[in-house]
Amino acid sequence: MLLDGAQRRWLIGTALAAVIATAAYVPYATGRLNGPSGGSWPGLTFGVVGFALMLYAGALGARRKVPTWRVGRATTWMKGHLWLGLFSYLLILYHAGFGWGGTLTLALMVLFTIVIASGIYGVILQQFMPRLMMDRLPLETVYEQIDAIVGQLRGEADALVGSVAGPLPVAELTPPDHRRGGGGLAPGEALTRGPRPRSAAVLPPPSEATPLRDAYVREIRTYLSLDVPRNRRLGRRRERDALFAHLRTMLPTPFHEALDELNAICEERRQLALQKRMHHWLHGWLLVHAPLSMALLLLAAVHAIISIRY
Amino acid sequence: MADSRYTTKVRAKRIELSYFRRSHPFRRWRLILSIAAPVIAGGWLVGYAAFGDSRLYTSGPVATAHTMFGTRCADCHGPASGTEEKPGAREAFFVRVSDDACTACHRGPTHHETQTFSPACATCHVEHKGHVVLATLDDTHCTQCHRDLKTKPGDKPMFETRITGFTGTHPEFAVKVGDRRVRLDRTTEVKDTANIQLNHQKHLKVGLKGLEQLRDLRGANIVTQTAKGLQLSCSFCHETDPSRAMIQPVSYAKHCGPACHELDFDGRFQGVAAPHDTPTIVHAFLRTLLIETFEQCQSAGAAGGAAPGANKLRAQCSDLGLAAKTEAPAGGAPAASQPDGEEGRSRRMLRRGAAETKEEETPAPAEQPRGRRLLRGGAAEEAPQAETKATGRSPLTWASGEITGIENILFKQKCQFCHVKSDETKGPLPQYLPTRIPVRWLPHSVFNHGVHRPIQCLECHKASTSTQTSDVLLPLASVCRECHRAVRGARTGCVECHVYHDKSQETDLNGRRTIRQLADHPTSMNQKR
Repeated sequence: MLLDGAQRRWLIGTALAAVIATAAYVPYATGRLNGPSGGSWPGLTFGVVGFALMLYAGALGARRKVPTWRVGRATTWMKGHLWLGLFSYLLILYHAGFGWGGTLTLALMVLFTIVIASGIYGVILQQFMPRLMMDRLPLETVYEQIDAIVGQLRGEADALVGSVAGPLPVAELTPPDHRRGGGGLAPGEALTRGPRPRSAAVLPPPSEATPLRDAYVREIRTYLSLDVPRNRRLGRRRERDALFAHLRTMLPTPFHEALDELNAICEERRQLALQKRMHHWLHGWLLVHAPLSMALLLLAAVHAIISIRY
Repeated sequence: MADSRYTTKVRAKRIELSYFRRSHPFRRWRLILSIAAPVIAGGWLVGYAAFGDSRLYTSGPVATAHTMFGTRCADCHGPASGTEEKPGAREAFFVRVSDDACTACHRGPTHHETQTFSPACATCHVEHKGHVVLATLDDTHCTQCHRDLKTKPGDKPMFETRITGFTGTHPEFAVKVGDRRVRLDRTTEVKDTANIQLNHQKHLKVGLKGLEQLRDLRGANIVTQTAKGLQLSCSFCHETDPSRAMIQPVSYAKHCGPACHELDFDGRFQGVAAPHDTPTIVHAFLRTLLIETFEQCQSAGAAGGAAPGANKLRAQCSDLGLAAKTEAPAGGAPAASQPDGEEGRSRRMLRRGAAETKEEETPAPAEQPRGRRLLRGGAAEEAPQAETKATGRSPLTWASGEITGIENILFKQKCQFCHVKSDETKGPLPQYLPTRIPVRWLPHSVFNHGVHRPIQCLECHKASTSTQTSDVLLPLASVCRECHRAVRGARTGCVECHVYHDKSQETDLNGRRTIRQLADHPTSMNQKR
């Protein structure tokens, strides 16, 4: 959770600063002959302070590039980024007198509004999505490794079905080159799960596993590929359970263990797909927030120089 | 479905140990976009700069009148006055708008000589706000001084010293009565001092005599048809200028004379009216008319004639006691009252003028008032020559005898009906005081009658009950406030009625520049000027 009790001091400090700024703005805006203007001394003050806070907020990205520098804790920087960045928007509104101005200032205000809105959106997502992921994704893994793990899962599934149903009628059984890590897996190892006690009973001939092989080749193996259509029925737990229950009735008992194993692989695949989607939701806003922030800082600097000159 | 043997430790074995060393598409895209966005923004600025277009940096659209200069910052933004002489000063970083840039085109005369400070142009006229009119200002610009008016030491404030707005502490309107300003609500003191005798109530009487004739003469718009009959419209006498803003002065020739107050003076001179001019001119006109009539009667008696107007002339001569004994022959001289007679007299006046040096100095005598032409033409001096043809009586003697009675009627019954006779009359002719009808009653404000034309005149000007010339018919401020009120009414701003700069002092810029000079660099013209 991003916003918690530790933010209270920042919240109070920001609110206090906002009250002070408002107390300064109201008499200035109502008492000035031509209304508030960015070129007046109070307007310039609001602008300078606001821009300084924007620069500070923008420096968070640079701070992350040098995590070892002793320039304050990362969490403090993040709190400052949130609260001071938000406060800077108020100051810039006061600087502009709630006007849009000309082309450049209009572009600045639009950019700033998008940056702030995307930031708030990000904060809201960060507030509840991690907990949601924790609840719904017990098999969550490192995001960058999802594709690699999906490859591993497919390889494991191929090996599993091949071991009970004989050679699979597919062009390529070996999963695409995916680096294996963790130090505990041997190259080419099919099943990476923990040791499972094998049934003492001898497996029936592979011909009796035809329904499993057919279902795997036709539907399950496709689901274990890298690009899974979202509406694939194996992605919905209830339908997947129905499929596997149906297979269970069609297969001899000795095959049920492999069937459970395959179901577990599908469940992990489902969670990885869901994790990927949620990760995109959780971090996708940064593709808007960060680039536009950079553009905003550049244009704001130009605006400051030009405006002071004229 | 969770397998207790599939622990985190087991799952961790799937993860590459060096995965973080490789760039991830998500991070890569964030980096690419974070570089691309500022580059695009910078390119936008550079693109505008490459085309020399500085519109990008304006803080808003310029006023309508300045649209032509809206894309060239340097036209108004430049080094402050006096910095040009300093070496390198032109390259100074700050380029604010100085008053010089404004006064290149606008003179901006001082508001009042007694004011304690004069704000810079840009203090009141704020550009880049997209205003249609830069002079549309908030009341605070005015009340910053007028809420507690101070004047230069030694100068006494001419106006109310505490004004905060029209709906608030704005004083009653004041007009000049003699040398002092009197507020309209001081009914015993305020009066119109014009030297004219006018009864508005009578003029607005329904069924006033002569209105039908006036309507036939000037059209239906000048009268109003009421249930009880015709009523004269205010706008017949009080016409607006072409812009409909101001009321033009009332003219005798246009408004009083036709069909109503004609200056006819004698039934024997049918259709002849005296000029609306000074007594001297009127006197000259009458004497000339009498002498010429005398001459015509003598000529008609000698030559006879059967011209269409001959019989009328003979009848007139008979009425005047100048009758010829026989019927006039055809082609006789026309009577003075006839149109052809007027033309003939004019021709004679012109001929007479051409023979004299004095007349040659005046290029267009025909355009002068008739009485004046007659005076310069020396009709009185010619009269003795006409005596040679008279039947024992001198035309001058006859005219002198007749003119006394005519003038007595004309001056006393006609002129003094409206005009005020001067007590300091010198000479035989009466003197009349200049009318001194104010052209503008409230010179410190502007009022546009045109925009108020949907309202009946009598709603504001109580003319229907006014019987005296001294009645001031201006509306009180409370009448204006019936519409111009703070809540759900017409605007109440100071600039609605008042003008800051003394427009009479403004320099006229008409025709001082070429198109190229104005289009290329308007403010540089000021420096060269």
